[in-house]
Amino acid sequence: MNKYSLAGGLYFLPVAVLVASCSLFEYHPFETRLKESEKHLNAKAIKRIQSLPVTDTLRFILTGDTQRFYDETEDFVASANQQNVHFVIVAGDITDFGLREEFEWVHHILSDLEPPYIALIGNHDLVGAGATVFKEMYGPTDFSFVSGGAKFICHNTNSLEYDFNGKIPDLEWLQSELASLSGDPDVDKAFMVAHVPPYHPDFDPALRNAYEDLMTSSGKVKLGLYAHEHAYNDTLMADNIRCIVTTTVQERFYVVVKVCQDFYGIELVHF
Amino acid sequence: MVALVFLVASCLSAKAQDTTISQKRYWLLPDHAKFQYAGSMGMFSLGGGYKLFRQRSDLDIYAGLLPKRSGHDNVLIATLKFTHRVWKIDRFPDWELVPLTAGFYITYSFGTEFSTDLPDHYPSKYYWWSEAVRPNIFIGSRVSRKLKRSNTIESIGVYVDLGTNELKLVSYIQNTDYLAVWDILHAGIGVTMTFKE
Repeated sequence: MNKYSLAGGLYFLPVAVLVASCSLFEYHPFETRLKESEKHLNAKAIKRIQSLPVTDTLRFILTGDTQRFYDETEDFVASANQQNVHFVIVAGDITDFGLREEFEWVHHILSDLEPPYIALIGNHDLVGAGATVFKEMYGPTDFSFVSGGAKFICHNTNSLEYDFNGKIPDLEWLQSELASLSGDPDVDKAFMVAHVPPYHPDFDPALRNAYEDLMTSSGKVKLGLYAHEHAYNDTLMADNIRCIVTTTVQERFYVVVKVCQDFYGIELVHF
Repeated sequence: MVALVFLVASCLSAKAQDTTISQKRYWLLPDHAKFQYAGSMGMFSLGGGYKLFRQRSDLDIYAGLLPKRSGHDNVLIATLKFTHRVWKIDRFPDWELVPLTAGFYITYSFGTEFSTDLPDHYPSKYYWWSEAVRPNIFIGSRVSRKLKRSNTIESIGVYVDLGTNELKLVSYIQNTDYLAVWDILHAGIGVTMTFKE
């Protein structure tokens, strides 16, 4: 009998080790449990951005679509750390399948960035329970912050994921964000930041005109910064507002944007 | 889906043939019941099924629950699971040791937020995977203790599985620098109770 107990005991050793490493025990592919250190990341990044010393020139990186390209994203971090930028914007499609693990992997890689990074929601991040994980991890899908005299209006334009319900992008919210600009002497320009560019078929076609009218009528929107297309594009939208669309990290490419008063410099970087 | 129906049907017909030999149990009664923690098929799941292929394999159906505090909502999950005992040690009279099992399972998550097929408003092939249906593969091991004195229970055992799903597997294959095999695995642990014939 002792012999058998011993056999049983030895057998359970690996099981005990497994139980100890409890992070392996996944309940569901789309589960949403996160560590405390993985929450409210955009708010933390904005706090860091706002504590940066004021300089004449604002420099930031625009990238996006890190989805399922972890090896390339690691190389991106190495390259981005060579740039002297204030912060990095990841314009959506953090993940491919909206899995919690994907969010964690990408954050793990991007947390090696020396500058803070801001993440926006992309259509792939809305799959499964991805929206819940994104909101827990990064915060609201529509948010804004001010840096270097410019307001970055970050918003959700993944209309197709909502079956073009007329609420995405949230024009009311955008209008209030743009309206609050006029009374602020320290902020003389605004940048629209989102995943799907307004001319793309995945952007609610019924809202496109109203969206562009908002930008034009505010008179303060100088740049639109987008991703989604997996191809670089530098074009014009809404009555001559410059629209920069970055490509995916997979293409080993990102954009450095330099802002100095009314000068906007766009530098394309291959890594 | 056709393969699943075939598996279930073949399992049931195999049992039907058994009844001609031993008339002791109603053929539809399961051979065993199982209770599992985690394994990407719910926080807890309860199942039962049949032994196939000369008792070398189990085919089980589970019902699992993901509670709201771990997911974004309470989610009910149905799982069809096939476990094969690859390496079995029979030399201990009271114990059945299975150092290596291998198998696969398919989970189906109920709820309107998990679509089975791409909804109509998407262009075709916009996403190639299903949110509701998730195929998994796994290896594991099991140990069972035979209960000689019980009239109804043949043995009780404990098992552990290490597996992955197709989404994590494709992520790993494309990113072998960043991801280690360990990163894409998920574990489940369970108890099994085999009924007497």
